[in-house]
Amino acid sequence: MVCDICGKKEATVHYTEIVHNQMIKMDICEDCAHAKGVGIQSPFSISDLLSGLAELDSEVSAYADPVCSCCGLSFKEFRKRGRLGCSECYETFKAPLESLLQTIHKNTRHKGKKFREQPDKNISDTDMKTKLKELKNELKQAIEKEEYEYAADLRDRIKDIENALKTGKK
Amino acid sequence: MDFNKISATQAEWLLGKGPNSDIVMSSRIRLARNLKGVPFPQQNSPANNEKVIDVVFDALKKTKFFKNGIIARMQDIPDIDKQILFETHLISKELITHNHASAIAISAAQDLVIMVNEEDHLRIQVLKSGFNIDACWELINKVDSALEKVLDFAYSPSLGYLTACPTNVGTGMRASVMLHLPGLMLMELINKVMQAVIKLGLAVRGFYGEGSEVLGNLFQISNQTTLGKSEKEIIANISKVIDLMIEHERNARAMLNNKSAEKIKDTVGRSYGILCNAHIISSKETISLLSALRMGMDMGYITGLDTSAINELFIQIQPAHLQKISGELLDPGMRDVRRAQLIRERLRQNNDKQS
Repeated sequence: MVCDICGKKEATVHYTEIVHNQMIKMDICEDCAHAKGVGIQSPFSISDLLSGLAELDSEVSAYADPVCSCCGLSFKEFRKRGRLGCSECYETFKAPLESLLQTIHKNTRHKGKKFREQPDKNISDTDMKTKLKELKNELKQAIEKEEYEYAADLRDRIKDIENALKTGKK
Repeated sequence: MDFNKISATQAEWLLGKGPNSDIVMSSRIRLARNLKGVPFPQQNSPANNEKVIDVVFDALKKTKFFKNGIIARMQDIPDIDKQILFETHLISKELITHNHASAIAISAAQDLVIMVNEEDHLRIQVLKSGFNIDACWELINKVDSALEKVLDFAYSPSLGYLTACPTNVGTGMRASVMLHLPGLMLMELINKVMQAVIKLGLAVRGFYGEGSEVLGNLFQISNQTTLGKSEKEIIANISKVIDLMIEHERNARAMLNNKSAEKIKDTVGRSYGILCNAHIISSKETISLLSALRMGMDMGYITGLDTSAINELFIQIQPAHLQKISGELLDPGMRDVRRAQLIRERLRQNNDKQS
């Protein structure tokens, strides 16, 4: 097997790597591997991607450079390093972040665990009934959108609440 | 527990048990959490970073999770032990290389780790052996719920848990599964499978995480997004994909067994032979030979070897572990000699135990 790069010497280095979500398989000779050196393993960093994304966004470049009053980070600085300075930054840079979040997550609303959420047993019956209505609505939508897994999850939660209501009344 | 025990005792995630452990090496979940009203570690003042550690330590001591474990500031840990923790996949490279005050807490079973002041104030991690992602969630959710009683986390109802990197905001959760896929690799199907995985919105990485190359046919699959789906949905999504991959890998192994059993047995046997007899060996060569050996064990060609001992070798042949075991600093040439020696001893011990 000859080297994929110089095409002359015997390929002795075989490697597979993932760059930008593409698998690359190469067989190269030791000299070319050495010459390629760091390049072979150069990590794909999420902040590069981020700054690239933010840069591309014309909406963003139209902004002056806002600075977070809580931690002093400027938006330009955020673009450079891909990390925000504090939780307040999410408010300060709300508009440009929203399009960034949409690009990254294809979504802008949290749907997971809620901070310090009270377990269901501490909720009053009326609250539970309101919640039940909400969930049933959501279930309907989920089925329409063919999100069956989410629907199954909702169905379980509905059952739990219905059971809680039943046992509560006894 | 002290650091010497970390390298000497087996981490739970290396035991090689749990569901589908012939293909899934380990499962892990991490949650990113930050304290409300305090800048993220990189932007925080040195004094405030110290304060964050104090506050978190106080909170951790109120829970039972780290009984008989380790709670320590990074500055108090010798360099070699930091490297060991990194090689054992308990802490990240970033925790070692960045230059602000940080700390760790490790449970006695080494299945729960909290990094303090890494990229976020808290990075809570749970690791389990085999395909056990639900068990990871159960434990980490418990830990998180216990901590949120005493710590005020940065949270917004619309964006969820707020994190230093917008790629983690929302659940702050990354669920990942480490797969050993020699069958798909040998059948040259791996590319196709991985591309499908990526299309399904999951990320693929090597043994050492972000940006690392693939060694030993080990692949890490994790969720890419953290906003807009609940933790359970994310876990269900990744589990479904992993189930499929396990099936594909089993099919590939069955196919290899039907069509080219002798060839595979030869590769496995030669790998075992080199591992048992080499006197100079690099870590890269070791990892690919260990991968072949594990495949041979999982396919029933080699019997009598202990899976957890082989899993452990994947970790212990790394530089810091070798130096800790040898009790001295070793240059790369010496490491290759010591590595070969360690492997010979371990495989011999294993054989003696059997006979």
